[in-house]
Amino acid sequence: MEADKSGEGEKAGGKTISFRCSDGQAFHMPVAAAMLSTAIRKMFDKYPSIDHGGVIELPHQISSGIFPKVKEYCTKHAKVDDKGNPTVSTNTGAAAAASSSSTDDEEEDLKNWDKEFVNMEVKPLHDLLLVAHLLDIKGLFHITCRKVADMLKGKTSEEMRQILNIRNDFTEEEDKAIKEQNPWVFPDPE
Amino acid sequence: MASSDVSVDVRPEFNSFDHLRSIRYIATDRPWLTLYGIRVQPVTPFSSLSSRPDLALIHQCLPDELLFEIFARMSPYSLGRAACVCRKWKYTVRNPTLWRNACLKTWQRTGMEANYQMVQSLYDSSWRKMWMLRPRIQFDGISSRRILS
Repeated sequence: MEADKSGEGEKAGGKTISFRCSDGQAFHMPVAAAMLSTAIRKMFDKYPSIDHGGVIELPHQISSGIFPKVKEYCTKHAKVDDKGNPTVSTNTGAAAAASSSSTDDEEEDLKNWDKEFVNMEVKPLHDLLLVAHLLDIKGLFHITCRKVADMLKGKTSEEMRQILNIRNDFTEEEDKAIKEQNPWVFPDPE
Repeated sequence: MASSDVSVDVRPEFNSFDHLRSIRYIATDRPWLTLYGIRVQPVTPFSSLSSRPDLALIHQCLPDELLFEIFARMSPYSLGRAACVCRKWKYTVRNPTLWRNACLKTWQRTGMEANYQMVQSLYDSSWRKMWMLRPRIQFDGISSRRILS
């Protein structure tokens, strides 16, 4: 299965990069997809030998359980031009206006795919957010942050605590003072 | 610091090292030795008062700057509620950048320069105070002032 995917990467992006998680499991990703990560791009520029069968050791925070999700995101978002150079898709209004209707549809599909992609439990979402931060994958970082923010949108403080399993560490006096300062009796107008 | 000279008695098996008999060592007081074995608990401003570990995934997994990034994508009303969740969140939500962005977004028609002048002259350079005190139109058409933590 993994070999098939890496084979597809060979055809599409030309070359693949190998990654090894802290538990020893190896993954292959097309170069164009890996270039979505600023950290990997900088590493690639500094150590070109990675291109020739080198393996990138991933930090211990990036588990083999979450890395396939990162690979899935990067592979989906990576686009390669005629010369084989990676071009990162930017979902800006100006770019969308300049492009054709088919490109607009692609952008819309990608946005919908992103929404579905981050539709997951709290634990993997946190792991994904941390990986996006460590590898500096801007698009993934944005959608994961947005997802956590959306999970908390319109919720009361107690509901926020329940969603994220946070303990109320205020003293009774502090709690009372905070409630007096924050009379959240109105619904969220936004 | 008081210091006393101590002569060292060399054991018989070290007779070959006769010169050691005459060496005199200076023994100084070493008060830091009393600290060994004592574990000093670091003071963490946002930690719980109780000794129970923090089970929250968001605190275990994510550094503070990521928490800020999440808050940056929340509405000011949600931020106000988030400030009531726990101490760590309360202090993170007080970051002026969050409130500056909220103010500039809410009163963008006023213009950035005018907003900066207003916050300095009327609200003691506090964006949070500006958000709390400056009247704004809600979607239901009522001018409201909302008090945040």
